[in-house]
Formats: sequence, structure tokens, C-alpha cells
Amino acid sequence: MKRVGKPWFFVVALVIFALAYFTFFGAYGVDEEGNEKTFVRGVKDIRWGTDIQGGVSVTFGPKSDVDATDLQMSAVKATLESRLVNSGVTDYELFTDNASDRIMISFPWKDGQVQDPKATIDELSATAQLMFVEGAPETYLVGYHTDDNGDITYAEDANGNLFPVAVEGKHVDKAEVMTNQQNGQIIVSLDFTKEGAQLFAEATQRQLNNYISIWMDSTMISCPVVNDVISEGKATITKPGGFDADEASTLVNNINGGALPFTLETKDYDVVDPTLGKSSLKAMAIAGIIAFALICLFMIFYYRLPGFVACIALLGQAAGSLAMVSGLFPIFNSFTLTLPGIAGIILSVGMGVDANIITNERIREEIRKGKTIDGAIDSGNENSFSSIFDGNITVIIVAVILMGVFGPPDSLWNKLLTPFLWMFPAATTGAIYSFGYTLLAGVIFNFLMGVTASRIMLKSLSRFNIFRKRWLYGGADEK
Amino acid sequence: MNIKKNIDFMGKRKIYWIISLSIIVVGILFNLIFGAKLDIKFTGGSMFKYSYADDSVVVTSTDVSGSDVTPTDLESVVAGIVDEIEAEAVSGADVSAADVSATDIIALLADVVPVEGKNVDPDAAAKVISKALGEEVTVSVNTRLNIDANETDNKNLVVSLAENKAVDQNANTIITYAMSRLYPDVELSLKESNSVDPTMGKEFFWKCVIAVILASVFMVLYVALRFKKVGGWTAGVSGIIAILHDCLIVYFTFVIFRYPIDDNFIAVILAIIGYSLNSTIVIFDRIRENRRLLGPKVSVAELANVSMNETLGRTINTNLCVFVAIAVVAIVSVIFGLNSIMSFAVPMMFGTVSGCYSSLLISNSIWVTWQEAIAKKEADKKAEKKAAEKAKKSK
Repeated sequence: MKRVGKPWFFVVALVIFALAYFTFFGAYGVDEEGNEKTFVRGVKDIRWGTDIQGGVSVTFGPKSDVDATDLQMSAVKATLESRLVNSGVTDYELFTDNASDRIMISFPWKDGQVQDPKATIDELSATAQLMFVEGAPETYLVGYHTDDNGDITYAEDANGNLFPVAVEGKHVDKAEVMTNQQNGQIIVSLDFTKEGAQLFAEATQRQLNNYISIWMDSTMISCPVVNDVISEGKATITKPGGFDADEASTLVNNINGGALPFTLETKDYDVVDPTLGKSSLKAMAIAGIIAFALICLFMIFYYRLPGFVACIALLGQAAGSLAMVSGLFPIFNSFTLTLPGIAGIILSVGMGVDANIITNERIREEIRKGKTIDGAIDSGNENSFSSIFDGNITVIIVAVILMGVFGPPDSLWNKLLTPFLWMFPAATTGAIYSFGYTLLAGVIFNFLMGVTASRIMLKSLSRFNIFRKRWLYGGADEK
Repeated sequence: MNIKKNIDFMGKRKIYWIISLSIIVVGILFNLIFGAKLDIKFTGGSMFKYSYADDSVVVTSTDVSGSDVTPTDLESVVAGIVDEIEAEAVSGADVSAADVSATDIIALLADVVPVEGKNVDPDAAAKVISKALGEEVTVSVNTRLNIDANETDNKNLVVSLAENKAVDQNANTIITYAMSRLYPDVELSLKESNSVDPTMGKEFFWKCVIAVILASVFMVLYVALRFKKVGGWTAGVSGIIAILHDCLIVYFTFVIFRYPIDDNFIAVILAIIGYSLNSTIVIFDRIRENRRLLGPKVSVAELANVSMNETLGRTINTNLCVFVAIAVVAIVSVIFGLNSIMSFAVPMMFGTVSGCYSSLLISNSIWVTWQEAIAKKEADKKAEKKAAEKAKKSK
């Protein structure tokens, strides 16, 4: 490695301290409306796993003898997603595994509420109600009235107004995305059942030039104007200017899903109370700080100057791993951090220091053999790289396997390992997934910090005259 | 520490093997006595954990100020649950997956005599809950370790299904109702509930097994590739034997400490596989370098000794650092009573010690012995050839 100028140490150290600062504290401001705006995501933006903040993980699927098609699975997915959002849960993770017909949902509890896991799960898996209502209620719907036969007659909105119900979800045979041949716009076509066709014909007659709104549970998903009386049982929903492709397919999914193709069964669930995890987080943070401090003390005491450089590099590595988790780097998505994930960060700090130890041991050896300071540093760097590389590769292999096995079915890692794991469908996403991720992030930052940054810093520091003493690099105590 | 150290590692091979074998034997004994406990994640099953305050806790209104949940909230939740069961009984709705209606449950529990006070007898509770659920359950009561300042509940009540079955979340309602009939003064709050379908559990188990095998295979391949020049395959396999050794130690830790074998176990095994091989690679890397430097004439044992002495500093220091890192986590988890982390960190701690020991002493001693055996075979072959040629000549 050629000579590194003196200022480089300060440059690198500054970058690392800045990274660490922003990783932990983030950067926030206030936007025009006085709301807090996040410029840089810090520790408090980290998405914690359900083992830390409490929450629910559920796996739904059809009854064991039912084999669901991909179309049915995506319809169910759309329904579940809209329900989650409707119950105010915006922070959720949902994974579909078409191979084993399973949908896995996990979401954290909201602060301060006494939780009722049963009600939440029941709500999610209840059969959806898809309604075509005559008219366009201005608020959400609060409920439906039934007559003595049990048929649904009216929908009621929040203001107490009643609207007649034209047809229900069970009257729709199929909805499809189509293209209008004449103007090339995207439209949605509806096929009704025989009974539905009859009911819909009557409704469109009544509502000609008026609205028939389409509702999923209590949310309106579309509100088209009735242009013609539909007597053939085939209708099209158009939007001025045409739907865009996503809109149309969501609408179709919702309509098709409204008659949920199969009853959802709860296969598996996991409920964790929030109080359980909060002190765990504190404890792990304390553990991390103590471990870091002990390792730094040891490095400085034993390896002196290169040890000091190692400590800064380790800070960089830990901060980098955390930053990968919180989503500080805009190109990488944020990641859920669980307790094993935190253990992974601490473990990779312990393993990461290996890169510095290998290098510093080499430097020490070379100095004692009589090489010059510069020669020893260069030779130490060169000879240690292959060990560091091999060691890190093994951790990468482990991390990838961990992520593939414990991760969600559509993750990159799972797809990578599919040739080996094809026989076994996805397990529930485990807390261990986070562990694999933090190990991987740790290795990547180890290459960046423990190797590159450390070398730059050491070579630069060694240029300073006060640091040109052999004992600082592990030479025998000369004084 | 200076380079002049010259410990004859390879001379004492038999000692290491004896130590390892004895540990393994002890471990197997423990396994036979205690048996391993498979977690419901692999076997399937259901578990509900509640917290409550027993008679020893005196709750004054000021104690719980500042917390999110006050006693009156809890009361109303329990009351609500009781109401719900009784309401569903009226409307005739299904309450449980076992297709027992709420009316039936109320009828089943009609002759339960309420017990005053807040001390729960696990066996009595188990009887009543089993009756209500229609499934055999086991109940255990233990003291909570990990208590927040705001909480007053000092005991855990854990209800597990005896058979490995999944139940739906209605079970929680039924359990709470049954408990409220037997111990009306006890206020349960659900901390954790877990239900896994046995088929999913089995699939998950086999997936994990494959993951471990996969990791091991990749490791062997990688080592064989990188260390072709120093007997790649023998190096790889020696490494794997050392890893197996470490995995056994990890497994025995789980058995001795009676931790359930769950996904933490798999994570630890995989981490130790990577980590242990890491150490082994560093030494083999040095062996490879020294082979280049010292030439082919130096004996394998000598080569190994020199390499190990040279890397001793790194081996001890790195393993020390990793050990410190994971030991701190383990100790903290024990102090704070974090069960899930404990069953991860404590075995990992033992695994790192074992990893250091095995990569330093076991994998090298096996490799050296193997290489020597190969060399001897070749030498014997050569000698035979020579003798045969000599015999030919003299004829």
C-alpha cells in the first residue's frame, strides 16, 4: 500500500464518528406544518420485532384439504391488507407463500391499549362483506340491516342515512381487468350470477344516471355512475381517463376477494405482550455497551496504537450494522430488529475485531523480527488479508443460510436456497431472520471498517513523528 | 509474549482426544438421564403465559400510577371476557374450535367451588382448565424475574396443552373464564401465547436440519477449495469433525441447562459452525503459508506446531474477545431473566470456548495424523516398490 498522507486519519475518524452520531441520534427537523420531519433515520426509527415491542404473528391458510390457486391467494392477501389498514394497523408485515398456501401476518401492538388478540385475529379472518349499495354515502358504513329472512336490505352510514343494497359479493361471479377496444383505456368487467344479474338489473334501473357504490367491509372501493340499465348480467366499471393498471387490479382483487374463496383457518399464532420486551431491550443495550467497552480496553492495552485504531473501526462497524437496520442509507430498506438481531450485532463486533487482531498480530511479529515500522505495517496488512477474507466468507455463508431458512418466502435469500429447500415450505418468519441479517451487515462493514478504514487510519497515523516508536506497534518495550 | 515459544502441540494429541471423548461421554449420560426437550416450534402445541399478583403483593392505588394498564382496566377485561362467554351462551354461538358452545362450558364449570385469595394451586387449576377446554393441560406457576418498575404482577401462570395440538385463540377466553370461576380474586393478564400446528412444526424441524447440513457441506467445499495445496479434503473433513464436536457441546449445554430445543438452538449451531471454522481456517492459512516458506521436507507435525505457535496470539485473543462479547450478553440475560436470550447466549458461550479448543487442538491433530497416515502409506508403497525392484535385480 502506498504512503497515506497524515490528514487521512482525521478524515476517516470523522466519517466514522459522524456515521455513529447519525445512526444513534438521527437528524430531525420541522416541516411547514410543524410536524416532525425525519431527514436521517436514527435509532428511534428502528422497527422493533414483536419480541421487543409486543405484537401478534398469525399464519392463515385454507382448511387442510383445500388447495388454493395463486389467484385466490392474492385475493385473500388484498382483503387482509385492507382489513389491517382499516383497523388502523399500518405497520405490518404480510407474506404470502403460494407453494404451501399460507399467509403470514405480523404486526406490533399500538401503545397504551389493553390488547385483545382474539378480537384482532377474528376480525382479520372473518369472511369479508362486499356490497353494492345504491347511492353514494358520504361517510363510511357502520352496518347493514337485514330483514326477517336474513337478507341484507339496507346499509347505514355514520349519519344514520339508509341506502338500499343492490347486490352482495356472493352475487358476483367474477371481476376482470380488461381493455376498452375503442379507446385503449383500462376498465373492470363484472360478471354476475343469474340471481345477481336479476337484482342488478333492477338496481340499475332505479339508479340510472345515479351512483351505485361498491363497498368492502366499511370502506368504499369504487363509486361508478350507472350509465345503462344492466340486464345481461355483465357490467363494466369505467373511470374517466381510464384506470391505471394497479388501481384496476386492486379493485378486481378486492371484488373477487370479497367473496373470500375459502374460509381462513388460523394455523399458527404467537402473541407477545409489550411489557415483556421493553426491559429486554434496555438489558441488551447495556450488554452491548459493556461488551464494546471491554473489547476496546483490551485492544488498546494489548495492541496499543493499532488497538486504538481498531476501536474506532469497531465503532464504525457497529454503527454501520445499526444503520443498515434502521434504514439510514436510503438505498437499503429498513429491517425489523429483534433480540437475536441485537445479539447478532454484538457477536459480529466480537468476531469483527478478529480482522484487526490478525493484522495487528502480524504487525507485531514483523516488528519483532526487526522490520521497519512502515515495512511491518505493510507486510502485516498484506499477509493477513487472506485469513480475514476466508473467515468472513464463512460467516457470510452462515448468514445467508440463516436468512434463507428463517426468512419470509419471497425474500431473496429464500429464493437463492430454494433448490435445496423446495421440499419444505416457509416456516413462520422467525426472530432469527434478524440475526442472520445483522451478521451479514456486520461482515460487510467489517470489510469496510476493520480492513479498509483501519489500514488507512493506521498508515496515516504512522506518518506522525510522535507515533514513530516501535513499542507502539507491539515491539518489545524499549524504554 | 515472544515468538520463541515452541509448544509441542502435536506431541500431546492423545490427551486432547481423551479429554474430548470424556466430555462427550458425560454429555451422553446427561442426555440419557434428562432427555432433550423439543420446543413447540418443532413439535407443535400450544402454550399460554399469564401474569398475576398473588397474595403477597399489596396493591395501592399509587403503586401503578404512570403505567399504561391499571388494575381497574384488568378487572374490566376479565369481566368482559366472562360477559362474552355468558353472552355467547345466550346467543348459542360457538366459542371454541372444539365445537363446544359457551353454554356447555358454563354447564361444565357449574360445580366448581371458587377458592378465595390469590394463591394459585397449579394442579387444581389444571383440572378445571382441562375440563373447560376439553383437552388435557399442564399448568405451572413460577415467579417472575423480569419485572418493570410499574408492574405489580409477581407470578407467571403457564398453561400448556399436554398433547401437541394447535388451538385457536378462543382457548385464551376459555382458560381465563375457567380461572375466573376457580379463583375469582386472581386477575390474569395475557403475556404471551403461542400455538403451532404439528405439521408446520415438523416441516420447520426438517428445514432446520437441512440448513445445518447445507452449511456444513458448503464449509467443507470452501475449505477443500482454498486449501488444496495442504491436503484440502483432509483439512475440510478435519474441520467438520471439529465442528461436529462443537455442535455436540452446544447440544449438551441445552440438555444440561434444560433449555428447550427451539430455533435458538439452530441459530447457535449455525453461528458456531461459521465461527469454529473461522478459527480453523486461520491456522490452516498459516500452515499453507509456512509450507511455502519452509519447503516440503519439513514434517507435517513440525509444520503444524510452528504454525500453531505463530498464530497462538491471534487464536487466544480473538476467542477471548468473542467470548467476552457473548458472555456479557449471557450474564445480562441471566440477571434480567430474559429467557429467550438466555437459551441463545449461554450455549453460544460454551460453543465459543469449545470452538477455540477444537479448532486449535482437535482439527489440527486429526489433520496431522491423517496426513501422516497418508504419507506413511505412500512411503510404504515406495519401500515396497524399491524392495520389489531390488528383488528383481538380484534375481
